[in-house]
Amino acid sequence: MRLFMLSLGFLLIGVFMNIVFNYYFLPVGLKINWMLILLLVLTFRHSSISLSFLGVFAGMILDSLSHGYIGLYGISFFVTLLLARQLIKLFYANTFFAVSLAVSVMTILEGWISLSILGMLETELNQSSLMLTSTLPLAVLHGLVTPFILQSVIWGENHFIGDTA
Amino acid sequence: MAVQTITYPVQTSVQSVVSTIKNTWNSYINLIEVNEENKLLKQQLLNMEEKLNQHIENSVQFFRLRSQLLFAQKKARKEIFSEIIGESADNTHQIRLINRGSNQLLQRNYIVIRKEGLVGRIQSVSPYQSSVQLIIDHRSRVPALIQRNRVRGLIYGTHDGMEMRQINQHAKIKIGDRVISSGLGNLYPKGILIGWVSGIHHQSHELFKTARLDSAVDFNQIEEVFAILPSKSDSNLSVE
Repeated sequence: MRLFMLSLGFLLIGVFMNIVFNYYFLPVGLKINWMLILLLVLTFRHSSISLSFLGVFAGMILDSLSHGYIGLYGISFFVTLLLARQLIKLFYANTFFAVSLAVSVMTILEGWISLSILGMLETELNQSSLMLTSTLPLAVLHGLVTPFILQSVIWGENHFIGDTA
Repeated sequence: MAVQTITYPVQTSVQSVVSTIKNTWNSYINLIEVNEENKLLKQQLLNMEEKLNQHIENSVQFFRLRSQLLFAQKKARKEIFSEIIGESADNTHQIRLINRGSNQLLQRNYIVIRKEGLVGRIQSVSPYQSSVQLIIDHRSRVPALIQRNRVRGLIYGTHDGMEMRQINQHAKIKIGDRVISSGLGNLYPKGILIGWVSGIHHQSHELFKTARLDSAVDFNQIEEVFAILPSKSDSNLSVE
C-alpha cells in the first residue's frame, strides 16, 4: 500500500513535470516523458503488478494531454511496464548504468508500440521517421536523466517506505 | 626671526606628516563611503534595469495585444481571445492548450486564428480549457487555394511545416504565391491566409504537384489566439 501511495505521488510529480516543466525545458526540442521514466524506475526496483496498472492511468493522462485517443498510451505504458517486469529477471538492474540502459531500451519499445498503434489510426504518420527523429533521441535523453530520477526514487523510498525499501 | 628660521624645518616636517596622516585617514574614510555609495548606486542601477526590463516587456506586450485586438475589432464575427497555456505532452503531435473552454462557449471544431493567419481548429474542449490542433499537425488537412490564380489544393501538416498537395499538374504556381483557405468542406472559413509557397515539387510521372509552404503564423512564438464563434448567418462554419 505504501509503495502504491509512493508511486501515485511520483506519478503526480511526473504529471506536473510533463505539463509544466516540459513547457520550459526542451533539450534538443524533445519533451521528456517523466511519467514513463518514474514508472519504469519504480518497476525495476519493485516489480509490482500494480505499477503496470498505474501505467494505464498515467498513459491515459498523457493521451488526454496530447492526441486525444484515450487508451493509446495507456496500452503502450501497460505493455512496456509488463515487459519491464520480465526484463529485470534477465539482468541485475540495480546500478545507475544498468537502470539507465534499461530505461533507454524500454523507451524505444514504448515508442515503437505507441507509434504502431498510432499508425493504425493515422495513416499519414511516418513511423520510421518518427522513430529516428523522436523516439531514439528521447531514449538517449531518458537514459541521461534516469540517474537523477533513480536517486529521487531511492530518497522517496527511504522516507516513505523505510526498512521495506 | 631666528627662532622661526630654526623651527621652520621641524614645523614643516611635522605639518607634512600630520597632513599625510590626515589625508590618508580622510581618504580611507572617504573610500569606505565611496565604496558604500558605489554599492548603493549599483543596487539602484540593478533596480532600474529591472524596472526598465519590465517596462519594455509591458510595452512589447501592449503593442502585441493592441494589434491583435484591433484585428479582432475589424471583423464582424465574434472572436474569443485566448492565451496559450501549454502544449502537447508528447513529441508526435502539434497541439496547443488554450485557457478558454466550454464555459466560454467554445466547441469542438471551432476555428482558431491570429492576425497573421490560420492557426488551427479546436480538437477537444473541457470547461476551462481546450486543445487546439495546429495546421502543421500531421493529422491536419485544410482545403486551400492559391490566391493569385485560384488553383486548388489540400494542405497537409508535416509536423514541422506544411505542404500543399493534390495541385493540378498543369497549374502554374510560383514561389511566393499566397495561399488562403478555400472554404471547401465547411470547416475553415474562406479567405484566411495560411502561408506562402516556398518550394515546388513535381515529377513528370506524378499526377499532382506538391508545394512546400512557409507558414504565415510563427507557431513557435504564438502566445495569444482567437477562437471564432460561428454566427447564425455564417454558413461557412459548421460545428459538431
